[in-house]
Amino acid sequence: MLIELKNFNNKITLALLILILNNYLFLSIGLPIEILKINLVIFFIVFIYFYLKYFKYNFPLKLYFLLILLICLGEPATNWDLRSIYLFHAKRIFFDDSIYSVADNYAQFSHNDYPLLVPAFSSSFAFLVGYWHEVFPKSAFTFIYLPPLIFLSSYLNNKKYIIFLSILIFFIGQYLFNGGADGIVSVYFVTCTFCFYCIFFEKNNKKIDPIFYALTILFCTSLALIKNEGLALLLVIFTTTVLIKLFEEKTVRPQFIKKILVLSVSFLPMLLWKLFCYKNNIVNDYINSDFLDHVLSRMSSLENYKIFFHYFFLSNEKVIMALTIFLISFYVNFNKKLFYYSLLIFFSYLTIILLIHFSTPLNFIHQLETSSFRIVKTFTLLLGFFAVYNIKI
Amino acid sequence: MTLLKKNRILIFFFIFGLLQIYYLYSKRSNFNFEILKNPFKKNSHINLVLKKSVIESKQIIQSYNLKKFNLSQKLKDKDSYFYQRLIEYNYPVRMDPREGYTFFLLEEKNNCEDVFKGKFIELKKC
Repeated sequence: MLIELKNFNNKITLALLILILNNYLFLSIGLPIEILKINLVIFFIVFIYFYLKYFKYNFPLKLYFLLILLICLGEPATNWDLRSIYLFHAKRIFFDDSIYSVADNYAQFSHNDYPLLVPAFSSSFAFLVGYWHEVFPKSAFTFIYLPPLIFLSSYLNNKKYIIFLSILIFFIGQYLFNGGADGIVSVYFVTCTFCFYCIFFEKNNKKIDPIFYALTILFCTSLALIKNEGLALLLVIFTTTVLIKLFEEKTVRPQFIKKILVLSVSFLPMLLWKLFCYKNNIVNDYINSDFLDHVLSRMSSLENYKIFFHYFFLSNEKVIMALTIFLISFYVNFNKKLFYYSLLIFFSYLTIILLIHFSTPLNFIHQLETSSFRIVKTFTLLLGFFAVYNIKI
Repeated sequence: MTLLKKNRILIFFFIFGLLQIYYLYSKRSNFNFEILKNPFKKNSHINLVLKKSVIESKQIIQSYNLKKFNLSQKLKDKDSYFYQRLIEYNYPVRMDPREGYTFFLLEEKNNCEDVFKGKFIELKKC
């Protein structure tokens, strides 16, 4: 790829990410709503600029995205998560002019402890038109996919990229337009995992420049602020990277610590949000006084592992397909570092998901029934992406 | 022909992507052309999403200019989906358990004073 195009992609990604995060930042510090509107107008200008400059380049992404956006704008907001959580939070931000109004813990079913990056971005769509509306703000959930997809196009050749887009549509499916945040989490997670791989494990470190670091921090910050699961995923990426490096080099280099510390800045906004929730007694369903009791009691039964395995692997053919694609790719071209890195991330996340499900105060099977089909999107996309990144075509 | 052969992966996956989007549009979405024609119209599609009783509750709230409302125990317990839709759709008007203006199902018996009887739901002052 031409250096010029790569730089263009990275700059557009940087601009879009900053403009998305701005919504959250401006609302956090209480800036006037007018600034939020201007911010969104700039977002649309950058979006149009991306489409028109180098019109032919990245054509599949541009076409697919436009079609998905049209579906999104022609579909009512029906998804349960969307109506009860994300769009409702956006509605609250719009009517209360603040992200802090959740401190009253009204409508607890809406999970008031969830971070508000996407609802803040979505509410700015309503601020721009001046009244609450459900379809237009819902499209924010589709727009937010764009920065990581533009970014990844710079690091995959045309053939790999078109395969990746097909895999993305296949695994994420209707979440691309129905406002489900799990698809967004999956794409940001895969992007962050890829960035960490490039920074810490890739031999050819030419692709790492200051913009790449800035983008990694912004992607990680966004991942943690999309939903609570994002924070767990970010922790998985950090700990896995540190553990592999320790195992590989048997020592900790100052350069490595410096990089990790710089990237750790991305935890800050989420930690501040958690502090706000803690101060206002906004609790999470999972983290409760019985957390350990639930985990320990369920851990001892082999049946629970079988049920978990059934819901996450056997009842979802896409997981089997993703694993098959992943294994075939690495069978054809075995990149040891990439293989162990992606597999360790996969198993670490699986362990966390297992613990979270064991800790649920609700019925264990009911919890699996209602969440496993969403969570597997993260697994499948991770395996699919690294399978494509690994192959030589 | 050579160009076609050279780019067969690109062409295959490009078409595959388009077919998938078509499948999502036709089988996995609630796409309605009427919504797309007017995506900025207030509540243009709400009848496609919400139960009539929920839509009626907002009409009653607006006509009586209520700032808060309450729900009968039966409405709270009926089903969580209905309860949540009533709360989120009527926001910024809030549900308050101390509020006198209370919504009841038509078949519910109670000793509260009648305010308005709709087709699906009624408002009473308790």
